[in-house]
Amino acid sequence: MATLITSIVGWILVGFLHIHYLGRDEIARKKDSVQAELQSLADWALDHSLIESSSPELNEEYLSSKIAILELRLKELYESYFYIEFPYELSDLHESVEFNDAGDINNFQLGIINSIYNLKISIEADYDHYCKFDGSTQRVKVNLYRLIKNGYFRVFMTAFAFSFCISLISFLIF
Amino acid sequence: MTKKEINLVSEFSRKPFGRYRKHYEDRSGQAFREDFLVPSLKDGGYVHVNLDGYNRYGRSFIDEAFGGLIREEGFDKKYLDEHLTYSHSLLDSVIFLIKERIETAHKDVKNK
Repeated sequence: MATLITSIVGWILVGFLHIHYLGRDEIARKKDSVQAELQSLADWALDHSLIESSSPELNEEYLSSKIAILELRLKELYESYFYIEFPYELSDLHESVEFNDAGDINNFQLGIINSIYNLKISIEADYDHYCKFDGSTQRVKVNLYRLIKNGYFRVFMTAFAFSFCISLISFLIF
Repeated sequence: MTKKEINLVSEFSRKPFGRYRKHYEDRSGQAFREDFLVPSLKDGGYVHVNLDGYNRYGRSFIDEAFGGLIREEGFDKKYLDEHLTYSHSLLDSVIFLIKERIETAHKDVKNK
């Protein structure tokens, strides 16, 4: 009887840890992916010769495409994973690429780098806040909700039930 | 008075881009402003611009189309706040950019 109870408790603990850490790894990957996207935009913006040699049309197409992709990714990160509405405006990233001289390019670089790095720092701070959520139980509930919503819960519970049954049968036989 | 809805992508251009008609002809911000916004807004008209269907609006297009209403056409910001609305179902940054360009145009005209 004690062995049976221990097995059940052990399986519940395994399930809890699985949900807890699976969720956090996935969110870290999503967050890092967004940060990489922001960094690639920063790298482009810092390349003075590339921007100067490209036409204003090309620069604006590149910039507006990047901002659109970033906005969609950031909204997904915040709404689907942090469970809060995305709180920042990205319109600051829409700096003018209509340059008259090198001074304009410098101003563009300064403005956009400032906006990008403010955003990167804010995302890291929000991720840290998520990780330090009041009570890990709340985070488990959030991750559990996401697993159910995404349909992974059914797969997980099936595997969980299957392995639990094998353990139970082994216990009963032996 | 009824509100006119303008679907920018289906009624104006599938790829709106650029500032001036002389460079980008019928897909420029100037063309959208002169051919769609001004005729709908004048004489007290109410307009809603639906920007769905395109996700790469450039700052120059937005500035000329919406900021130009104040700078070039002489509309008042207060009038635009009452008579002009706009939406994009996916990208809030486009909406904030339009607001920012209208605000900047208003300040530029005020400081002249």
